[in-house]
Amino acid sequence: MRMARWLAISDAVAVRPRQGLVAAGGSLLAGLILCATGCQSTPDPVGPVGGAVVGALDVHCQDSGAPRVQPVNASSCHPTFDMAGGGQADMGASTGSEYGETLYNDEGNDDECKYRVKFTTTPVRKGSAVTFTATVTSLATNQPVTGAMTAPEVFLSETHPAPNSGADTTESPPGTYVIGPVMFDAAGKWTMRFHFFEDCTDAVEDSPHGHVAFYVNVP
Amino acid sequence: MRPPRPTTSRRVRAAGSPLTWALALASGLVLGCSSEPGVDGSTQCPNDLPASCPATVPSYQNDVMQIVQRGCASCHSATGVEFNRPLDTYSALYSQRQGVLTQIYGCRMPPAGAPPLTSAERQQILTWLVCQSPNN
Repeated sequence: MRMARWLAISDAVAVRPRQGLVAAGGSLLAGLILCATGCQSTPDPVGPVGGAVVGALDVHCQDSGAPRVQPVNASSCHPTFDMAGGGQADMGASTGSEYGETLYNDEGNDDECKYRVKFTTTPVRKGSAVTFTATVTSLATNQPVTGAMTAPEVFLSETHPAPNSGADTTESPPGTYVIGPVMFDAAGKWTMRFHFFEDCTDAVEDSPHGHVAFYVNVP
Repeated sequence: MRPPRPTTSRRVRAAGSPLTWALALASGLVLGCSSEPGVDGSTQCPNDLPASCPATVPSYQNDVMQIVQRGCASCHSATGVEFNRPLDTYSALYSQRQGVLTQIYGCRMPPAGAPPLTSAERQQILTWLVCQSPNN
């Protein structure tokens, strides 16, 4: 009896394999569609939208009106610290924190004047998944900075980082980095710090490593 | 003339179709829902930051210093590759507490390839940082 049933199952699968696949594929698609519409626990939020905080223009890479630019040397990413060979220790930005001042508006230069960074966001709201798009350009060459593996560091205060939301970064087109999702779990004046070439040392002046931070308002 | 199909085969197909639907719907729900942003803890990096400072604060001298020495100081000290961001003294760690918190909480430090913090170590240092990083 058990053998007969097994044979019958085999027969059923063998006789209609294509229909079975079609049914399974259709069912999977239907499931995904149902999920897309049904498993979000909260509706899309509405209300005021935040974003970059408008304020003073970034001029920290201007020395008496002349631009100050720090060229980058890829070979300084992983140096051997032979300072006699020309490497210069990087003791951080000259003013503010070791990461430099947090900037207003939606564009500015990194703390060491290596890169120009502009960013846009999807609507910024508390509790929403926000995507940042940052365009990074070399101040020395005016070319897109590729392969920077831009990583976000997002915090409201020194003891209040953004929740871990599985944010990922993709680069497309070259020099443009799409970062998200970023979640803001409270209203306020947040800081979004972009890190570039984080796997390179930050201890040598012309290392590709860099960072720039912007204020982001979350209503 | 087509041969008659076995009745058991028809019964299996009739029963299998709803089963296929149910399985596919369930897998679709699982696949689709698990791709939501992971603030619910579904990401690899846990959302385990203490909501507030507990009554018993981890000690810098007895707890945090050892964790930093083991997990950070090989790079973040005068002889390490990140010598310009030392963490091997209290004052150095305190001055960089915000960055240390976000880097550890976001699972970016210690970096891939370095010995990771244990769950207990992670909880101790995160709690100490949330408690305003006292020199206790």
